[in-house]
Amino acid sequence: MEKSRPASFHAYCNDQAVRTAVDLLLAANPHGNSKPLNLPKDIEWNDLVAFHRAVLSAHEIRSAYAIYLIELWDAVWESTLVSVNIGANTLTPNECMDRLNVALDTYSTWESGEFYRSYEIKNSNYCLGLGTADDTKGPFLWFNFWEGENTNIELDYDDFWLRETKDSEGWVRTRESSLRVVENGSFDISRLIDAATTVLAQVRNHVRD
Amino acid sequence: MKLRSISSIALTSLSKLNEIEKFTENHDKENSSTLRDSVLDLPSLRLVSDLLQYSRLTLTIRKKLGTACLSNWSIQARRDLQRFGNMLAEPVSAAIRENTLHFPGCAATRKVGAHDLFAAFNVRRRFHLFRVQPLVPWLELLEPQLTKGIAHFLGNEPGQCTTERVRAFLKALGASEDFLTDFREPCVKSEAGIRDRKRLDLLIKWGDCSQRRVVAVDAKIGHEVSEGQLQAYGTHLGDFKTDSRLLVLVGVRPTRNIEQALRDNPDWTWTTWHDLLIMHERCLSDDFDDLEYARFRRSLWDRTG
Repeated sequence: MEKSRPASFHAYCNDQAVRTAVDLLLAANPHGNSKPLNLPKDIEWNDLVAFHRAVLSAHEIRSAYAIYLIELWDAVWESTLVSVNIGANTLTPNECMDRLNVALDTYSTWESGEFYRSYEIKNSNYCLGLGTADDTKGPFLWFNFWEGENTNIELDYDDFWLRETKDSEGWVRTRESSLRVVENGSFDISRLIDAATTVLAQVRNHVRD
Repeated sequence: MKLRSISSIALTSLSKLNEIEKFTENHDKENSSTLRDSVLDLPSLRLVSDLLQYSRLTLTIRKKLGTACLSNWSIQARRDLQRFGNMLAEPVSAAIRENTLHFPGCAATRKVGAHDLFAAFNVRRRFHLFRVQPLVPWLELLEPQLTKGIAHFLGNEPGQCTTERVRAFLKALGASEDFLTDFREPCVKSEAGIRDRKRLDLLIKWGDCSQRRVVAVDAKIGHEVSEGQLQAYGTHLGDFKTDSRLLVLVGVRPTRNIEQALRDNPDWTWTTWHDLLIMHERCLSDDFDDLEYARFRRSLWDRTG
């Protein structure tokens, strides 16, 4: 099953000059307020329109990235939650932000490079943290499974998952190098769906035991 | 086949491709397919493919040229083609030279607005720092290493290269055209000693007698301005008339310490490293630049971001 990066974000990933210019423009005005952007000191009148278009492009890339992570999340985690049938209740965005200590606005998604949702498993004290990310090298998943407030549950992760902890809270992620993004920005998400299915199946079995 | 004639074929093919794109946009199928047939010559396709790659166009355009476009040319071959492009006055070769060649239908470029991004920061030069990797990505250079590096790249090339590099640097620091009248044969020093064991990060001098000029740079990357520091530098250069010297404090961002230092020393001006580098990229020509210097500037950009 194929998905694609947004063309703008894919160009950002592949073109160093685009990436540098966009990072510069986005760093100047992180919260969308009236603070002046990085207008080059020696800009000439006939470059001003290009500058404003450049700002628009930079913001478009940032928004496109947030949408991309959400759509990737839906294609991988949402579909797998249905197929594995764990019996989990999604939290609201505000509850997710509180539970996972993340922010879901455009700026925060861009700065963190990640998108998360949290689930509570019905009739239990178990919770799931499910995330997507793309650090320009390729898309990958984040996963966490815990009981109560923060007792991390250890699962049997295959080699597709990196045992990389995040603030010692037990988060694991898939390897970026295992997923190849081709030149037009598309990639096969079957492997991601398989990885999601494997861990969620373990969650289901653990909860039932 | 001689290289000049090959490049002429390639450039002619590129012109034709431009026309094809225009006809396609205007839904003129007949003219579009007629022209398309005329560019199916294999050698020109391979050259066009490589020139397109060199001009940073997308896979979409390369696919249009079919399976003939698979081989890669060596860096030397590309340089030769670029050099020949520089000698011709055609619009297409001019676009190759300026690295602005793109087709209207180039989807990714148009969506990203790369053309606008590049125009805003003048990312047209081949050696623009935005295009290159830093010298050693994992190495965090210290302040003295960066200023020594600047002096090295400014002052160690023979003749006109030094003159033009320093001129570009001075313009980026804010030197006016009047200030740079009769500018030639600059002398660049880093860590220039002054009294009391103090050292000026960068000192650039040129001219003699009544045409003497000096530019002093105090470089800050995370450190504060010490009390009396700017005043000491200014005193050391006291034998230069006010309109013959330019004193510049360069830092990452204005802090309270810097703002106070500038209030106490109004003869000093201020700029950020990023403002300096962006302006510098506009002022320096590729003719006097090279990859190593560009990568050093990229290191400086990353370090001061």
